[in-house]
Amino acid sequence: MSAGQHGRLFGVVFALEFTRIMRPRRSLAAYLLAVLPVGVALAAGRTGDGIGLFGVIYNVLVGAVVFFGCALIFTRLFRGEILERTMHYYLLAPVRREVLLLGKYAAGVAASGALFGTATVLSYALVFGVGEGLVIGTLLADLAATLLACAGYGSVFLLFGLLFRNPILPVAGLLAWESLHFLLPPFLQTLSVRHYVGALQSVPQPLPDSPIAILATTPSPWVAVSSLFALAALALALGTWRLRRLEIRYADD
Amino acid sequence: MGHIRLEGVSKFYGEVLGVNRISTVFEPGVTGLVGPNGAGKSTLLSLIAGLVRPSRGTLSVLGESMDDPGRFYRAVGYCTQYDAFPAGMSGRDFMRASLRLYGHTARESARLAAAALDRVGLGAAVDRRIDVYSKGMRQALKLARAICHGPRVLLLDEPLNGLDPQARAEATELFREFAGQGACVLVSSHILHELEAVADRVVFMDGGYVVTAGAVGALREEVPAAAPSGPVSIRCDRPGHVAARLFALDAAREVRLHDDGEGLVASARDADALFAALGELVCRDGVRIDGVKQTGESVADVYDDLIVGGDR
Repeated sequence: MSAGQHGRLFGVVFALEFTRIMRPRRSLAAYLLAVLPVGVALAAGRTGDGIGLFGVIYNVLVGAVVFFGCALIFTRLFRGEILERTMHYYLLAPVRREVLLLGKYAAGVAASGALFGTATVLSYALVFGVGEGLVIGTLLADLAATLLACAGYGSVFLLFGLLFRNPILPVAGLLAWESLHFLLPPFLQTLSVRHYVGALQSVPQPLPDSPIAILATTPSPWVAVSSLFALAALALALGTWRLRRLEIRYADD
Repeated sequence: MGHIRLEGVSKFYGEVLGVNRISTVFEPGVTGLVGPNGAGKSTLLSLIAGLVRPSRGTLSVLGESMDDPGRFYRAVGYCTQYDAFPAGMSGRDFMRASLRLYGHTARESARLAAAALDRVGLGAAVDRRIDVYSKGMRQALKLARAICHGPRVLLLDEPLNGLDPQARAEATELFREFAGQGACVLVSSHILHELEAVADRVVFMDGGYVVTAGAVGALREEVPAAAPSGPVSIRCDRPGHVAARLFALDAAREVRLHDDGEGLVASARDADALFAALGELVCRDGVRIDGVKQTGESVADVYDDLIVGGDR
């Protein structure tokens, strides 16, 4: 098959998966999570300290909403189909498994980006007011950080869905790692999605007051973006390796 | 060259045997896979379809490599045992989505989907959600999914399950149609008499092994000579008299009269002796015989002899 044919099949998988993920019945929890920061911004109203309020909202959005939302969306991309016993329909189609993986991943990034990117923009607009305190530059920086967080977390969760029958435990482990990474030596802090996303966002990360917290050097935006892409590429390469060896034996799953 | 060739193929799921040392060739035509639950039929079909990989041995399907799914899955259609579909889709949506994955345009997918759904008798239900389909309708939809792209190898795992008699007849006609076009059709089933009607060849499996394979009539000859001949159904007048004479002539070991009183079923020690005795009854006693049918060559009988009988 030519590259063009693979590209067309990638587009078909992307469209099918994006439509499926965006169905409210399937992704109700992700929708509710996306509404959460917007609801907080709406309830808080415009205050004198808009930067402080948005900082709190945004850190919750990236640290919890995007994290759990991506966990819900991406772990289901493969594990959900295996549990529902529908995975074989894709595997019996004339689509290379790496194309299938990339199509599903791209659909997950697009869907989570649409949900949580919209939440970022709406929260920002509600806190700062449209046309008044809104600064397009910082909004775009935070939007980009949200999208990169979706891409980074998404790749890891997709891999969890392929590697583990029950991805909840590794997701919990990653949550602990991401939440406590400030306690780790600087080198280990670099092995964290939050470390790089924090370097891109306009608002400061909440620094824990603990005396045992260790401050790592904040990477430059280019290093942060490159590192997140490298993480996604590594996770997708491992995912492809696993998917190519996947056998359909639902009884064992 | 066979369409499907297996050489020493084994599949183990950890300690559990799926199939073991299977070497056979499946030619174009309809081949029935028969065996009890756990015989390895589904594992064999999944191996051929590339959904599982052999632990040992080699497998070739039309000379295509499973590493090139673009070619391989255009040639292979598989109606699996799994009764599951993506949630929230209608039959039409499901078929269109499936066909888009074959690289067809939206319009072409719609046309082919409609044709396949009509072919399996689902034309009137295409816009209903699959969630509300009956078991038979879901089975038909799986069949439509397997044939929609015109495969040259059609793998069917218990495809007649849940179908009503008319749908079964139409499905078996469909299998014959594919075989008539040169396709290699493998059908696993427990519905033995229907398999007999459609299969050119039967493969008996048990415990992960191929017990025997061949045309049904030829398989009968493989049954040990000591085995008794199958029952013979005789439609005649005076069945009570016929039964008494068969016993007197030592031509039958067991006789059962038909409920309608117009015949009997006799199990013979020696089929030739039974038919000789029937000739004598007609000539000497004036018995009127309307029909004689030997039922001992059905797939079910061979299956009983080879597999069920082996367990006795």
